[in-house]
Amino acid sequence: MASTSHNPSILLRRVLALKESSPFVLVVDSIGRTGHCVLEEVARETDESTTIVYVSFESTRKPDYATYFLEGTKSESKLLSTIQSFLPTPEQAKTSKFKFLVMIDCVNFVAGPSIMNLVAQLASPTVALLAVFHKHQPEFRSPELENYPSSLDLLQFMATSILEVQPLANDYGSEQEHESQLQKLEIPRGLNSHRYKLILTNRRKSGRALTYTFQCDTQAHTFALIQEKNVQDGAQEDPEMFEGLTTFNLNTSNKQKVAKEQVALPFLEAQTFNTGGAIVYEFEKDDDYDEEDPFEDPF
Amino acid sequence: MTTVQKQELSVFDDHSTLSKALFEQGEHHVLFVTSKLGTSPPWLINALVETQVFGAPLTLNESSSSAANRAHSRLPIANSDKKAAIIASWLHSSDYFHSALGKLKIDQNRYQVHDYLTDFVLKNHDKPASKVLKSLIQELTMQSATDLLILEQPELLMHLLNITSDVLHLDFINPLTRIIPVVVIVSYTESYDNPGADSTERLSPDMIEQIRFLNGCFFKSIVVFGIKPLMTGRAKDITGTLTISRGGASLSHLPINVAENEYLFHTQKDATKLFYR
Repeated sequence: MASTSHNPSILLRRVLALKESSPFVLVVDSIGRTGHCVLEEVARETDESTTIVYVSFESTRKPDYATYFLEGTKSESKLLSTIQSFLPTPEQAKTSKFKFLVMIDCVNFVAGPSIMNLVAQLASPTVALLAVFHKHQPEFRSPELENYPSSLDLLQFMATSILEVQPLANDYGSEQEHESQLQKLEIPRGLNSHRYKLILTNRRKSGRALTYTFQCDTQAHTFALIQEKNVQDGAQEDPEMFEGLTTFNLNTSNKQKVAKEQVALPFLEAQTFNTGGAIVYEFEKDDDYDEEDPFEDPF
Repeated sequence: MTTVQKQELSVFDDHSTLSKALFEQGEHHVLFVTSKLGTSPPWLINALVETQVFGAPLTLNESSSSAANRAHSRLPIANSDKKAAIIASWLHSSDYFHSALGKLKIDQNRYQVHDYLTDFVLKNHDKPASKVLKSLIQELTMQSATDLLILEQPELLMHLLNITSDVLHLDFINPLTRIIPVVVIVSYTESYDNPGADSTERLSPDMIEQIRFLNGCFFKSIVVFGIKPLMTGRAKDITGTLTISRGGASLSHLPINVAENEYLFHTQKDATKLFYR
């Protein structure tokens, strides 16, 4: 498991192949790039023996990879019972060798508070849930629940992996232009193409979230990691930045930079976990240790 | 403009307007037409009906007189018992379409118009919305042999029947797309203004439903025809632009792809022409 966290591409492949322990995978998409490409990639990466139950609110065509195709309904309880009829009972799941995957092509149709129940009832160690959410779809919120989290916030909180798809923009200017056009539902050319940007957020058991950005190609089925150049560039010191600010020299020389990088910061040592998280007690000469006391901690 | 070369309407990469692949057994698709203030889309509706009847949008691609002559000499591509297209409009009366399509020499027997403008409210007053939607589906699919259904501004049903966007999609649009191979949804998007998920701006319930419906149409569609005026306003020889772009639905299972393009168009009297941008 530790090795996967160091190789983002392998981690992404494991998430798509449902090999990571991730019962609920949320796909967040928008008009600029819809999430069908991710559903197709998941269907391609998973084992052929996986039973895929496809719940559709938007399409009336059964995808080739789906084992069962269900049409979405407005009634959450009816929808839940229909889906569950295709899934094994908890007893059957224990002995079953096959994986089950429920794909919902758009959970925006499920009303806000019901979403939580749907996710909680479906996602389990034996049944993976993959749900698409359109992030730019506004939702009606009653004044009493004004401060209640939005459906997207709730889903992002519950999801163990989040795959956000975005169009691949050439530069910041064209990205801004596309956004302002989409705000008026003017669909420019070049969106929803076979190349897109995928942001993976994977939550570890410890609660730590790993986030990586990939450039994907639906035709070649490749996932190339995009290095966050801006962050690195921003972290680097620009000598011109301090010019004219003060009469002091705030720049650092190369020698000073090397020395700075060699300083071992205390929190890095804490992250090594060499001691397995135990409290390390070092006995000192002035400490009073009572051997007869049964509650005395020897260490 | 005399030196500018005219362009033929091509929507898919097999150089077709409505590809045969869309009408294969078991295929069901949605096409989405959006229009803004000052650029109404009836010419595009007529072109789609003409494509379905004659195999190509003759009037759009050629001069009116030669198109009319060709229409006379050319036999319809399908047998005459089958309606080539059904138009359901909440914005125009049936006379409007009969007049426009008559000028393109399309026989009235080849298509059917459902007029939901004239007396829709009188007929459906006090009836439950679910019943009205069911009866509409029944009416529109009675000619089950049709391959093309054009819905002009079905979003008005949300206000006429006091229903939500989700109900309209699940109980009306989805059942129709399940039965009819190609459904064209024509919507007016001038009032659409979606501030996005990150915005704290409060939207009115009507606006929320409007945005949800139009977004839903986008996610269902394989191709979007965006008609809008020029950024600089209406020019003497250009009425607006037609942008053909991919919709939200997947086309990966089909042998065709959308041929994204942007055209300039000029509407003069009854004729519309496309030009290279």
